[in-house]
This record gives sequence, structure tokens and C-alpha cells, in this order.
Amino acid sequence: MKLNIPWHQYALIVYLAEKMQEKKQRFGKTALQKLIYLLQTIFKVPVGYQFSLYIYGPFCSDLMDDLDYVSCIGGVAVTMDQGSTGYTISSSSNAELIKNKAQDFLDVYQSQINKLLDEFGSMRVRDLELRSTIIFVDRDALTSGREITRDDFIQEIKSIKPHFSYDEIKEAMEELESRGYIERRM
Amino acid sequence: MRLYEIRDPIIGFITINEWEREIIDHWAFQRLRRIKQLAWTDMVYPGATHSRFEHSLGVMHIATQMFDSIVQKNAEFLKSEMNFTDAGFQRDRVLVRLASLLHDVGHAPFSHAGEEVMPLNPATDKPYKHEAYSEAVIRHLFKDVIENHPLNQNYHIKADDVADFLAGKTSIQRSLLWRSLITSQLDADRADYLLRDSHHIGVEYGKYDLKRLLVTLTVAYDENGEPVLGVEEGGWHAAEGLILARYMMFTQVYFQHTRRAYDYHLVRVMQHLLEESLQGADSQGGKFPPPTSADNITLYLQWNDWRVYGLIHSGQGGPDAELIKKRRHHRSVFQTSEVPTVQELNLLEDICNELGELVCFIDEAESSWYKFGREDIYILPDENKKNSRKTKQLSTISSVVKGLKPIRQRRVYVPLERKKDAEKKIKKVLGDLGGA
Repeated sequence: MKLNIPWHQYALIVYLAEKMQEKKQRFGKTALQKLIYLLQTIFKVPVGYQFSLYIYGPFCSDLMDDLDYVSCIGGVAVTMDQGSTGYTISSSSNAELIKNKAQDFLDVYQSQINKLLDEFGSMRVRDLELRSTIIFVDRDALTSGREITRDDFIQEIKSIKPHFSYDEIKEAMEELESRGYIERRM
Repeated sequence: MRLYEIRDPIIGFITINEWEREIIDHWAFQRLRRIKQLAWTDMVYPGATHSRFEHSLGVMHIATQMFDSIVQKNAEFLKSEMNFTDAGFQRDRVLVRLASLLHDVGHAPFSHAGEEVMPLNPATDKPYKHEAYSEAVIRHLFKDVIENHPLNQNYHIKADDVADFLAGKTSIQRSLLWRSLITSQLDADRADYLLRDSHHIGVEYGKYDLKRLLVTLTVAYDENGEPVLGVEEGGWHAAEGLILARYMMFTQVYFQHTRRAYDYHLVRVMQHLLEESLQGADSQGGKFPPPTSADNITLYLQWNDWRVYGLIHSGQGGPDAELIKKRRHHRSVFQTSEVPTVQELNLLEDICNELGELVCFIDEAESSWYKFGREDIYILPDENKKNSRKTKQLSTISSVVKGLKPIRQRRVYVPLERKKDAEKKIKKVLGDLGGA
């Protein structure tokens, strides 16, 4: 009987931590959530997490559990920044061992992961938060067959994220539309 | 508006209005009386025979208490930061009550154990969960009773609003804030089931200070400035208590090794029944019909614990039903630690290879219901209460929570009559490794 251990999910967490370290980007729990959401949704990498929408954007509790477990088995270190309210994720002593367990997965989806990091890896968490929510709303409207005008779409985002200005929302939408990541609405 | 009171062993009295009473009297809600909350846990803890019906009422009551507590203390903040009005609060309160009342209406027979025989959702490539059935049941069957009651003229709530709230759809917009009351680390669902399960089973593991938690609930901002539900600093230890209660209940009850064997046998019984049932039209190759139409939902809801008991009693449950009747369930012969290392997982692989076809199933803590990961709850420090309202995560300030790890234990099960053979083979693998 085959053991069902999701090494590919563990290895991806380790790999993203390494790459973000290389880019000298602060990599916390929210960034991990949003990057994996984008990797699955935009770049169609079958990571296998199911995200659900909360007021703070798409979130997957299984991913948080996996991060903790990967930290326990030495794939990453999750440390609290001094004087900060957030965590930083960095690679740790068993990083290679865990990546080796899912090397095939990392090889197959290398280009998508690199593209994700090129396009979104340097963004502030706040920007990732807004973009992932816009994409979630876009996909939700498409799958449920809801036709929303551009103005209503912006209004919907604004109501979920009241602390973003209309201009910020519009700018993020235009950026995602121009890259073909969300439907262009009139 | 007429009010009614229902006596409850945990809450005391649960007050409902005439609209809610009509919803509760709907046949699809009454079906929850015939769905046991903890499946065949009574094979280990004989008191565990309570139903989803009483749990659903309890969740509605606690979710309302949580909502009221938050609004009472944070009305001005919610009005200024999220544009709420008093009418907005009243409508969302009703939405929260209806959603929490109906959140489990789509459960399969024997609750979570029955979820293993749900069909694949083509959108996610994973099996549907009971939440998808609850959503569909509300949309298809509760439309009339929700939308056309005279009391709803005050709120204009649609069945779709309730289903969208539970599903986390963006169409409910700002009301998403309250979704955390039904599905999050700090929700009314677990607030109720921990106390209720402990009460019926007769254990103390799931008890925590609900009253303290209720008066310290608040709304604040997370580290990224997003509004979140959290707990004031004064409720820090009550929040720790909730997390510890979950940890204890998971290890001692929900992931108890014999109880998990019965979950496995139940799935096999359900597969057999769905394949062999005389009313085979409502099954799809050993799976329930998908929650994609009113007809499918109606067929699905014909299944409940009573029907399964009846079929087992009449000898139609297949070989696993016979094992259940004789209490000759499969036995666990090897288990990893609660947080296995990479080396332990490698050892587990060696053992499974050695046991070969003796292995009936490998249980995984992360796949079991109510799994335990490291919980985090937002805490609003006293010094931030009046200004930034910025929270800290409990895991950063609580050494108790910091020390908890996600449970990823795995167990190997074999048939009772092959237990000794299996143990010999395991001994051999461990001996080859130098008596590890």
C-alpha cells in the first residue's frame, strides 16, 4: 500500500523560502499564502490546496499546518522578527532532503514557479493581498456565472477591502487585465 | 414575533423565533436528528450518541452570542471603518443565525465519516465536502422557508445569501467579516462541539472558558491592516484553553485508534451500500450523487444513519458491516510519533513494504476530521485597544501555543486475525535497523 505523503507541497514551501531569501525579500506567512494561491490559480500548478475567501483574502488553513510541519522537520525556520508583528520563513537544515523527495515536481513546474517569483515575488504583502483578492473575485464570478460590470467589480472589492482606495483597486485591476490574469470588464 | 425556547444540555435554553422554528421543522433539518455527531465513536465511548441536530442549534446560539458581544463593544469602530449602520448590524445578525443554524444541513450519514464517499468535484479535482452539500441544500430546499416568511420583509435575505455566506462567496461583500464566526480558529462550530462532545462522551478534555472568551471577543487589524476577529489581551488564556481543548480532544477522541478503525469500516459499508442498494439509481459507483441539482440533493438526503442501520441489520452492509456487528475491527500495529521526522516516515515506508498486502489501510492524522494544526488566534494588546488596534498572533506571545506542533501521526492497520503475523514482520524490520 502506497504512503500518501505530500512531499511536493512540503518541497514547494522550502523552495519558495529559498528563492525569496535569494531575492532578499521578506517572506512571511501571508506572502506564502498568496504566492501559492497565485501559483495554483494563475499558473495552474496542481499544488492541491483549497483556498477559501475571508475578509483578509484567500486563505488555506491546510497550508498553514503544512508550514508548521515543514518547520518541525527542519525544512524551513519560522522566526518572529524582533520588534515586528510578523514571521519570517527561511530555509533550514533539512531543506535539501525535503526538496529531493519531490525533485520531479519542482523540475516539471520550474518555469511557472520562476515566473510567479519574477512577477509577484518582489511585491509588498499589501499588494499581494489586493491582487489575490481581485483574482479570487474574478474566478468566483466566472464559475458562478455572475456578470459584473467594471464599476460593480471595483465596488465589490472596495466593500471587502475598505482600506484600499478606488485608485489602488483600479490600478491593480488594470495590471492584472493587461497580463491576461483576469477578465477585462466594461 | 413569537419566541420559543429549547432546552439544551450545554447552553441551557436556546431561544428561537417563529421563522427559525419553521426552518428547524423543515424535513431536511429534522433529518439532522438522524445523523450522529461522532459517527461510531460510541463503539469506544458509549455516550457519544448525540446528533447534528442539537449541535446545529448550539452553534446558532453561540455564534449569536459572539456577534452580539463584538457589536456591543465595537459598534463605533465598525461604523466608522466598515460603514456599518444599525440596520446593517441587524441584517448581518440574522444572516449569521441562519447560516450557523444551517451550516451542517448537508452532512452525510455518520457525519464526517460519510464524506469519504462523496464524488469528485470537477472544479477542484477533489471530493466534494459536506459544506458543498449544505450550500446546495440551502439553495434548493430552503428557498421558500427563508425568503417568504413575513419576518424576512425586514431583512430581504435570500437563500443564496445564506449559502454564499457559508461558501465564502464574494457577493456577500462586507458580511464576509462574520464568516470567521462559523469557520475559523475561533468559530462557534468548534466552540460548541468541543463542549458538547466532552459532555456526551464523559471526558473533560474539551472544556474551556467559553464565558470569558465571549466577553473578550473583538474586531481589530491583522499585521497587514486587514480587519480580523480576535480576542482582547484579557482573554488570552481563555484562547489558549480553547486551543488546548482541541489538542486534547483530537488526541484522545477524534483520532483515537479504535474510533478511526470504525470510520474506515463505515466508509467501506457505505461504498457497498451505494453500489448494491436496491435503490441504486441514487448512487454513482459507490459514491453519493453530486450536489449539482435539486433532484440529486433530494436523493442524497434520503440517506441518514437510520437507513444505514436498517440495511446493516438486514444483512446488506457487506463484509465490513459484519466486522462492525461483531466488533472485530482492524487493529493498529504500528504508529509514528505525533510529529514524525523524515527518518520516521522512511521507516514507515519500509514497514509498509514488508507488510505488503497485510496492510488494510494507513491512517493519517492530517486527513482525519477535526485535524489538529497549530492554531493561531489574533490577540489585541491593551496598549493598542484605543489607537492602532493592531493585533499580535497568540503563537508569538504564548509559550503554551508556541510549543504545540501540528499532529501528523500515521498508523498502519491490519485485519484482527493477521495481527500476530504483522507484528512479527514489524519486529524483523525494527531488528534489521538495530532495535530502533
